[in-house]
Amino acid sequence: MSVKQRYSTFTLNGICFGVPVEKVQEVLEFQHITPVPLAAPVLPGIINLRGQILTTFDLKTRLNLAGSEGAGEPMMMVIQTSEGPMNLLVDKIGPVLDVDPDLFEPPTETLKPSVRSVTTHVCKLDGQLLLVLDTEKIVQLPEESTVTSRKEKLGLEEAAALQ
Amino acid sequence: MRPPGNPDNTELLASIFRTIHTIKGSCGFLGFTKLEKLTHAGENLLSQMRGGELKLNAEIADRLLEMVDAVRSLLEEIRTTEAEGPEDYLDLIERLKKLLAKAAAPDTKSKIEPPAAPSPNAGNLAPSGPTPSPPASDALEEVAPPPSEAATKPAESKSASLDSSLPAEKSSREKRTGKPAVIPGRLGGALVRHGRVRPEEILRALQMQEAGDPRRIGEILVQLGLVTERDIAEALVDKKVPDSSDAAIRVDVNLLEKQMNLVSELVLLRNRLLQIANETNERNLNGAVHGLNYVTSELRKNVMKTRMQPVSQLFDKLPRIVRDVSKDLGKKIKLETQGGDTELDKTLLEAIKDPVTHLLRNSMDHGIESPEVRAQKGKPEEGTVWIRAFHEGGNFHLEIADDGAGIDPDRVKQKAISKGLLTTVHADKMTEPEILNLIFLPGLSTAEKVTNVSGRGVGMDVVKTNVERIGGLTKLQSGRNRGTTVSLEIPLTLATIPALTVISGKSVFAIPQAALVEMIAVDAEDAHKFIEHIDGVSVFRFRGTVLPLLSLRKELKLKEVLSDSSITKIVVVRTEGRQVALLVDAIRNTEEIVIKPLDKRFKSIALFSGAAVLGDGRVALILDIAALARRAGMASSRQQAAAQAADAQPKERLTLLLLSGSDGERMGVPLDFVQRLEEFSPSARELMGGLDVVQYRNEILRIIRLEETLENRRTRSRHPEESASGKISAIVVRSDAHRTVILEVHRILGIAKVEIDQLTPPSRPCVRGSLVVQERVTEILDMPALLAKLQSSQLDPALLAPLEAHVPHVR
Repeated sequence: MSVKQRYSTFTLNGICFGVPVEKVQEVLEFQHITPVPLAAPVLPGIINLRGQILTTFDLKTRLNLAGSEGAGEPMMMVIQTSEGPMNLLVDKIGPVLDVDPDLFEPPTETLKPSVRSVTTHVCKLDGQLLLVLDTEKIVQLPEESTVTSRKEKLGLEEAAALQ
Repeated sequence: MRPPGNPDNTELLASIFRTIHTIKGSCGFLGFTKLEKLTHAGENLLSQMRGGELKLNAEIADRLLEMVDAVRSLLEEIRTTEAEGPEDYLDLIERLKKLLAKAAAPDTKSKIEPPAAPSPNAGNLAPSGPTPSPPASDALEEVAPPPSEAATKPAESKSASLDSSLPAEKSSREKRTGKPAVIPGRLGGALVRHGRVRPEEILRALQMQEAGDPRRIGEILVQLGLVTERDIAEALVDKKVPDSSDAAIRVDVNLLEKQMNLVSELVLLRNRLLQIANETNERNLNGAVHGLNYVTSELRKNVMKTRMQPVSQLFDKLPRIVRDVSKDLGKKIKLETQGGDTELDKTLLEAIKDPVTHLLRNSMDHGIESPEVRAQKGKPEEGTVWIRAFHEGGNFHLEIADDGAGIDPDRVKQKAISKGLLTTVHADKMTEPEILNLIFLPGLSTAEKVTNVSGRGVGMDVVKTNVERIGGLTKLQSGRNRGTTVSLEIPLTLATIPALTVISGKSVFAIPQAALVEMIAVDAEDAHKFIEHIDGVSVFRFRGTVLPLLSLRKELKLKEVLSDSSITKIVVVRTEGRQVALLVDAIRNTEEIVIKPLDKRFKSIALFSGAAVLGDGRVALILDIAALARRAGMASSRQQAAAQAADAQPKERLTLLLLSGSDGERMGVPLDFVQRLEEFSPSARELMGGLDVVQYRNEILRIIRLEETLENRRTRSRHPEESASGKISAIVVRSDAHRTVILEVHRILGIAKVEIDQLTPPSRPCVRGSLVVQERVTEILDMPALLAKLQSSQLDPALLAPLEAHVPHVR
């Protein structure tokens, strides 16, 4: 019997994602984001979290998931990274799930390259898939990641061409 | 180690001796023979001096300093390699021994007094003893000197010349340090601590002593009825303040840094709470918030204090520099420092270290003359550099003054002109202080030769930039043969900075107050008089100058705001010696902000130097003014200097106002000659004595079509169709100090910076030549020639006389 892993879940365009619960600092209602002019669309701006300035990532843009789920306000999830806390914009916050590692599977080939590159593994739950994201990789933007595999690059271009 | 100073300071000597002795002892123990031999030789010499058999003179001081340097490098060697290294300093040991032998031989040169007899006070000026005194122990010494020195000196040295203010000051100090000072200082300090007397009262008693009262300080105080004998007895017991090791602890700087940040957060939270409390008008809340307000302020003050360091940390390093440099230069220079106990934030102290050292070297190298020259001028052979630190107006001030040759404004002017930093016309209009301030321009050094000390022309501009970087100001005063004074004014702390907050689009931006020059609000109807938009280039006419104008909204590609105010708001900012006008949507207020670094992911935008949380909890981005200005296509002066240095033959650089003629030909007028850009309606043109004139600012001025002045080979139409606005575009040109001419031009295109490398020879008079600007052939007008032509050939003196006579009658 293996130890169950806990994940904080959220959805983007109805797809269920998760990050290890210990990486999550807190979950916030949507609050005002101060835009940083001329910044990339993936970085909509910065927020003031109790005097601390956090960079906000639009996770949907980051993962290349086009479109939006209704007109509802997104939620904010503050995660801990090696560079300090970062703020992620997500559609909806889901429950914290305990997952048996036996259900882990490597990311499938069918995933979008932009999603697959930051997914550590996929869990098959009852009736749905949970994609577990690597918090460190999410906050590394493709332009600045030092090692970008050729395949991923192609994938990105592909995605860009589709849009 | 303190090289010059009081040669008879036995306490200091003993301390040095002990240190060297300790090193020697440990060496023998650890088997570092070279170091042991060296320190042994030094110790012998020091021991003789300590015993009074040998007096310190220049030669001994030199050797001892050499020894200290050698010990340092040996220790460094041991630290890095764990061995002593190859150098054995036998030569130095030999010389040390020789000095000792000389001393042993009776009645030789050893009795020679130090040649450049430093004033007996020099050592006392920089307050630093062999053992650091615990902060509270000399409470009086901390409190007492400022009233007499700091209170009188600032006023004095600003108005009167330094030379005249000095003797008086010196004598008072001599008196004070004469006999008593130390013991009563301790007693007085204890009394003040006990709250028995006020510092001024101690000072009064001290003054009585100075005036010749033979009694002890305690007796005087009792006699004055200020204290009882019991107080004195108690104070005498307390005089021995706890050892410094018990009263102080060492703290990691990072911890302090973190604490400071947290307190800054607290201050911001308090500000926010204050705002909320004011709005709600809840009594209980208000009371609590005001309590919090007080505690926060106190806490902040105290935490800031922990980061404060006395400037003596910097001063203590300077005597050695003065000694070495004056030796190199063959000059006699003495350094007097004052206000060493003035405190400054640690990081700021670090930041001013290089500028101060540089200014000191400058003073010694360029300021103070050689002894022969000084003698000729009737000055004492020994030059003096004064460095003075004090607090004033919530800022830290530091002055570096010398009694040297001063700066010759004419030479600065010539140098600036020859380097192409200034035009002759421009130079003639400048006042002396303006000219002196040119030495802060990059690439300007008036030193005739480059020495290894200074004179490479990369100095004053770096000093100024470094000081500006920490939000400070640099000022310079100089009088020929009276010396030069450079004053630095620096904020006490960088933790929070005052900033102006402005709104553009929907966002708030902060502009550091240090960069701010002026804020201007213009009615939208009048805006066109001040702002010109020419082919995407905007300029703002501001107090007789033409500044590049940037719209913050455009530069940052912000969305249009819905409610557009009828008032145009412009903020004039200064960066790297230039001014830029920023068009903003609204001006908010000034507030203290804490600078927070921005995520590296935003670095590539390079227009923001950080972010800040405002009092209301909003986040503002702090504008990087220098980057904004550069983005607007202004080459920063520093880049220019670098380019110039790279280029063996400096090219002439010009800023041109680009014009187009009626046939579409392009012309450029050097911007220095252009006073203003104007528009006149055609009806404004009036005829007077056969001349076209316009009324302009209560003056009647000639208006001349530029193309008429230039010999045009093609046929031309007398009055070509006017521009789209139906107005006449014109530039106001100042020909000399008294006469202004308005040149009517066909179209104004914009401003361009050009490098004049090779000009194609001119094809008509009044043109310097042509070159390609923005991919178009452009003639550069020779303005002096053109203006001369206007004055000599076209203006009939007979006509001119009545014209001038008219002027006073215009309303």
